[in-house]
Amino acid sequence: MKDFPVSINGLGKVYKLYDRPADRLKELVFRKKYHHEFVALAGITLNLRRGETLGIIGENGAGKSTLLKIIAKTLTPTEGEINIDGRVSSLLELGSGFHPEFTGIDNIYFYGSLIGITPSEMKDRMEEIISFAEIGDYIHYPLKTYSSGMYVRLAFSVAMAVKPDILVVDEALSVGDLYFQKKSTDKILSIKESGKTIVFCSHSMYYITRLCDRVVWLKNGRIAMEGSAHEVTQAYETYQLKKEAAGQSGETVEKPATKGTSLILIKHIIITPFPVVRSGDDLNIEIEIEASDNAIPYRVASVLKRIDEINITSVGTKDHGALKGNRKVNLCFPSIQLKQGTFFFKIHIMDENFIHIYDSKASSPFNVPKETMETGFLELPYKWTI
Amino acid sequence: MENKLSLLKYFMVRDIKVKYAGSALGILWTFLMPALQILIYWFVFSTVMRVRPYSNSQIPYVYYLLSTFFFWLAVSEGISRSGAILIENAELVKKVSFPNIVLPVAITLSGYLHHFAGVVLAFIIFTFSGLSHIHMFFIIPVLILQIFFSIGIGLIMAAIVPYIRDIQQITGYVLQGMFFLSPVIYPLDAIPERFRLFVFLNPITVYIESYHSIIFKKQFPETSYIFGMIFISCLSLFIGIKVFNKLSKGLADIL
Repeated sequence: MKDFPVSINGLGKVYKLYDRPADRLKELVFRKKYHHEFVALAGITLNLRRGETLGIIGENGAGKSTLLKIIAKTLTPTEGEINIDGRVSSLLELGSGFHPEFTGIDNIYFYGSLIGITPSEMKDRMEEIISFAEIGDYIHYPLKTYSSGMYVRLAFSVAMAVKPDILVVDEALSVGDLYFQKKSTDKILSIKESGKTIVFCSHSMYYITRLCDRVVWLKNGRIAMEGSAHEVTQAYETYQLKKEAAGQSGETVEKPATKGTSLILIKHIIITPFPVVRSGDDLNIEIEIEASDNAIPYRVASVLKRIDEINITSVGTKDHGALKGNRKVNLCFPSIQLKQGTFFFKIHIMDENFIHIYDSKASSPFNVPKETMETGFLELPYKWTI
Repeated sequence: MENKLSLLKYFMVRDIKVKYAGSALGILWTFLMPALQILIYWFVFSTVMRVRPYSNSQIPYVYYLLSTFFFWLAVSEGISRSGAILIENAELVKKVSFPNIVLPVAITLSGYLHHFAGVVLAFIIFTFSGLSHIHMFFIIPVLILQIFFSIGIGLIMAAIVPYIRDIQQITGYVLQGMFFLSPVIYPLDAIPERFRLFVFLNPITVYIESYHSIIFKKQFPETSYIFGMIFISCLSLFIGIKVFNKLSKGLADIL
């Protein structure tokens, strides 16, 4: 076993774009250039250490997906080299390779063969796959009879059952229905904890800093910055803000969101005083939580944001035990030092690791009136020495 | 290698299962369609054109047709389907990393498996007509060489067609030309001497003539045929693997 399960050296990917398919033929015949080139990646050099979780961030079209696909070995680079030591499994395209006419079992064997696991090995993992996917007797029926949730559960379980040395994850940390989402997130975490190498690409800076040991920022196909998660995400967010301020259409940061009715819900968020808060007031936030399942542990996180979504501060119940069941939680900021502006709280109900989000809700915005001639929105303790 | 073999098996099973999924007559189609074709050729060539297999023998025309018709179908199906196979499975090729070479090979072999039923049926008919003889088993090495040839051409087609999709358009016509310019439906003697060379430009001719020679003449194929077959099979397999390995690297970009 080498120290670097993935080593990438001077890697580049150029797409040849042809206006018409016939141009491809013309180019072959006349040996003249009939295409224009699109450089998706250039000069990427990266070494992933064993057990490391590498985050990849960047705007849309920066080359994140191309890089992930090259690591997952579904694309070949046009220049440079990539060496991969170990089995790669990716959550990029869950369930591709599945055929609707065949039963779950047939598809499991087939997928195993596709990515290089013999049927006998696959047989040993069959039990584990079926129980993790929780699809019961449906495993004996053709995939076309599956619900989309069952399909993705099976696909995820198979991708995990191959016991990857390197896992490639694109944005979707969680798949399937609400119950399975938590289970899939936990599974990925357990893979991280078992010392496997993970490549993770996301627009959520929260997940990136939470999960990644090292982060690479891709910009126009090149590495703009590489370093610790905090350094790089900070630089990236600053860049994003500057870009937005410059009036360019900055990309909105996608937030992990849950679909449908969650198992744990935020019923009410009541802010007092409301709607006008003055600097120095005790700001109280009362959060009423309704849990449909009393057995699920959860924690509460609260983010104070300015109305333009700039995060001011965030606090979580990390020093308290995980909560369960229906609860009313109170959060108090004694003598809040906000200068002026419109603000709101974004409340998240999360799992005990602060990774999976059960529910998110924004409070009504409250206003801090301008009472001094100073600018800014925050009062900080200060001392002049004159 | 073990994995490639099991993958090959799965692709073959998948291909055959998908072929019959949802069809009421299922495996019967394997016999019905060729049977219909045979009836048409039988009528046209035997009754209308009055083709006789060998001037000095009493072999009915339909036996002559049956002896190599299914081998031809297997070659032809292998070539035409290989050309389309990567495009049909574009999602798989683009999204899952697996040895793509298995796909065209599996599709070619599944064609042979598919038409093997017809071959068996033909030989059952021969047995009941007292035509069969122990030397018939010598067609097996010829068949194996033919399969190598098929795989080789199939690999070339599979790799090139995604780049130049127009090829698939003309494949049907080329195959039809190869069919009529091969001794599947008429004996080689029926062609005037000066045109015979054309038929030998068709690579499939040596295989078809070898089957005929073994089945009807109870003779080994001519030495030149044997070397011809070995040469063509090895060459096409070699070129096929080379071309496929070279071109398959860029497949994910163009599919």
